[in-house]
Amino acid sequence: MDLPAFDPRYAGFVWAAFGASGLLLAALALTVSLQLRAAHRRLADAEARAASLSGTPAPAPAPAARLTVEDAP
Amino acid sequence: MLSFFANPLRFMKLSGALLWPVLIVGLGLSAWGIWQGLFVVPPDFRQSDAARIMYVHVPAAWVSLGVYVGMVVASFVSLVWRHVLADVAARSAALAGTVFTVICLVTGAIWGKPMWGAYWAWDPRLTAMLIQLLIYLGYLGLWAAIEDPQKAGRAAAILCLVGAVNIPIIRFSVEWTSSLHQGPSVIREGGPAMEAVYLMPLLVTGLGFLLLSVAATLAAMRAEILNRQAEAVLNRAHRAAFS
Repeated sequence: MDLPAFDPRYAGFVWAAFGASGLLLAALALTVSLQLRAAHRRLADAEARAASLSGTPAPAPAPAARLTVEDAP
Repeated sequence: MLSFFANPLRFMKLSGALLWPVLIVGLGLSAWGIWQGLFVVPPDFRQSDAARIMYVHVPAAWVSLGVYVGMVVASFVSLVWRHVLADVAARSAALAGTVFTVICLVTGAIWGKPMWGAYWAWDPRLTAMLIQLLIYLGYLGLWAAIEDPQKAGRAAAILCLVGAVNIPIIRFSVEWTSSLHQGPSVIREGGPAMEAVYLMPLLVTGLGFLLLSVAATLAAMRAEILNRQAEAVLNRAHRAAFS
């Protein structure tokens, strides 16, 4: 399917506006998903730490959850 | 009803079920509206293809203001009823509100260059929108600056309520002043001043953007609740271990 060609006087502005909006929305999605991922990891870390403090065996954390300062050699 | 939603566990369950459907419908509506605005709607007789920028600029402006109104309601509920999730909701919505405000300002500037001959003018509507961005940034900054979440929530809620004065200024600046910005053409007395072929994509993109902001807010709320749960788990474990 052929896309209609825009008026050459404005085509650059149209693509710049839509491209910038797409990038900003992608940045929002990335930020929120990273926040969510970090929060899941933080909770897994906290549960593992709580289990080690109470002396009960900790539930196996997800691999990413092991990457904390405490786990460093 | 307020107390029903004050339970974080209940909220996590509900938001977990809602998040993906809201996101997918939001993406679908936004994609349809933008496709129509870019390729299907005929060019404007005066602005030609530059008018297509409005199909992202105008919905972004609506969502920027709509999100802020939601934050004002949540801040009020947080201050008056101390609702557990209200300040979390307001804080989580602020990021999406900020992004849509930036989209509105950036696309407006890009449209302004070919139409007005300048990317920026100190016009009342444009300036009020810039102030709106500064309010959003100040709100997020206040949350980041105060460590105690209760104190931060209260201070941010007060800032949010004070900042609400800017909403009618943005809305009516084009009517109260001789603004360079065009007057209202959708929400106005006598109905929208445009044909359905132009109006529909605008409304659908607006709804799509709104759902995207709701999805971003729900996800950010879930992250904040998980962070607070992690803190509570650690505090409980430390108390039990060292008491």
